[in-house]
Amino acid sequence: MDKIGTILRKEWACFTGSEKGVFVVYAVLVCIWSFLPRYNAVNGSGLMSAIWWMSLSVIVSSSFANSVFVAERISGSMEILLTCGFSRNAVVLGKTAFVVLVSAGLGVLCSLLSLAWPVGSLQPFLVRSLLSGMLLYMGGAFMGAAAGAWMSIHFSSPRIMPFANLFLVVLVCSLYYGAAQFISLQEWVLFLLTVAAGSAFLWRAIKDFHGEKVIAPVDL
Amino acid sequence: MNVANSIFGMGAGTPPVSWSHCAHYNLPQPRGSITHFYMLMPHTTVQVEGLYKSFGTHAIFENAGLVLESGTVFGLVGLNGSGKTTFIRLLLGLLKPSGGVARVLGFDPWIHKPEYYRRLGVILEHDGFAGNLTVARNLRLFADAKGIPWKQVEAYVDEHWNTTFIHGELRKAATKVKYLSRGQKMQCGICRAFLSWPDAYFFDEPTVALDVDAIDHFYSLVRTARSRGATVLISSHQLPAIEELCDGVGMLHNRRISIITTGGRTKTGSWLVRCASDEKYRTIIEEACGFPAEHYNNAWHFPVARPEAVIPAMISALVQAGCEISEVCPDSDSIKDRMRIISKDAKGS
Repeated sequence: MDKIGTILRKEWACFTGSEKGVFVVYAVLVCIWSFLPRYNAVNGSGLMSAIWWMSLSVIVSSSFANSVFVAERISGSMEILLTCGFSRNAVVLGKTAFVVLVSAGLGVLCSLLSLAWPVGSLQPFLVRSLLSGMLLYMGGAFMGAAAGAWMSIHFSSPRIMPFANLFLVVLVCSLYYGAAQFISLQEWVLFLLTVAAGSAFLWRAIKDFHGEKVIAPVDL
Repeated sequence: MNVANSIFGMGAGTPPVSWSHCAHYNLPQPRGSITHFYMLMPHTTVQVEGLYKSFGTHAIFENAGLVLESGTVFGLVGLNGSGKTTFIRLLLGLLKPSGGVARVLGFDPWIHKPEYYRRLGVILEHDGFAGNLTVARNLRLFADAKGIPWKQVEAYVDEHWNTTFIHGELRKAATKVKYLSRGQKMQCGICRAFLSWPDAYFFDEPTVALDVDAIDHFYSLVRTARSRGATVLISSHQLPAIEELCDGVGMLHNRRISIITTGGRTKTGSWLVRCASDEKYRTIIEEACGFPAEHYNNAWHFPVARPEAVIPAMISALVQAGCEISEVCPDSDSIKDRMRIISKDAKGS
């Protein structure tokens, strides 16, 4: 478990060592995305809220998954990482944990920023709306991170990874909202769906990290 | 069949290549006792037997073998695409053998045990450093992976890298790796590989982009590792480095590893027998000398530890098998000459 922490710290150090432009892009993204939670806090949560949060989770987690999984393969450093004493499970879990935690951090920032927008007056359902949105966001981030880990091995081109992740989220949301037309479903069911899908992807990713494909060449 | 072959159970096929397995010739009697041999045999670090590897229908290795013992430096040469990097990746557990056995330090590399990797020093094609991190931060990461205390890393750098830029980097931790030159990154990779002096080293083109001082420094580190009883496998196209540094040299050719020279405890010479390329002659030669033989330039080439004893018996066996021999002599071709001949043969065929 301590090696998972080491991988996590390594990824965090790599992220914080990035160029300033990276932080600007994420700051702008968080600012823009914080509008809807504020809107919901003022006017009441709507159907779009879940999709809004899920979309953000996909964008953020795909982006981070790309940088920690795919970039490592492109630079060739994955081979060294796998042969320097870390267990392969620690590498997958540490990187996935990093993507989930950083995505979660951005989600929390987004929620907090939504409180600061000078639009309308806050309603009593604010906390419930934010928590519900954050829950979905976390589920989406976990699914995006785990799917990113798996896709980074199976897709020879990293370019299609964000689109594949987006497709996955649309698929899960469609399943949920389709079923919701016939039976009464709470939003936590959608959260459970994303967690279940994320767990399945993570299990497959751990298995595939023990295979040969993890060092296969990447198309740029 | 010699003792080494019976030990490894390779009587009918290609014997595993061992540049020092003939050490048992110098052992006290009784020879041939398996238990006795095992007790006195130098510690085997790398043991590859009957290795097969293919990508789809394209075979890279067929029945390849190699045995390396502790305290040796072995060079692996070959033409482009002959499988040098693939061989190292197989030993590192990055690729799975299609058949055969590969063991390093008693581990099956494909099991991916962290304990195995902590006993290895590795240099691969890419430096493997996180570009956004400083040299010191990168080294700390790899030290953590191997469970090496930071103080030990500092002591190691102080002792062995005090004349290089790495020493300064460790103290001020200023430069991100992405701003280093290719040669400096390679030096950092070498520094990482020798951290805590592992038991086995696998180097793929370790001297690429190094300046003369860095190359000399690398040589001295390899020699220190050897004196500590480690096994070093170097794959390179830099033939002067191979010839200067290695006790034994093998060439990857025709999906097998042919031994060119051996040294150390079982110094061998390289010989050639000029005759037809019949496979039955290969069997006779390999059984006699204990190493794989390679046919090119109209002759069988093979290493032999005690030519005065082996060659007459081999010639006698070949003649009895109907072989018409036109020449038997020590093989004076350098590694470079051999590679040129093999390259020419390959283009011709």
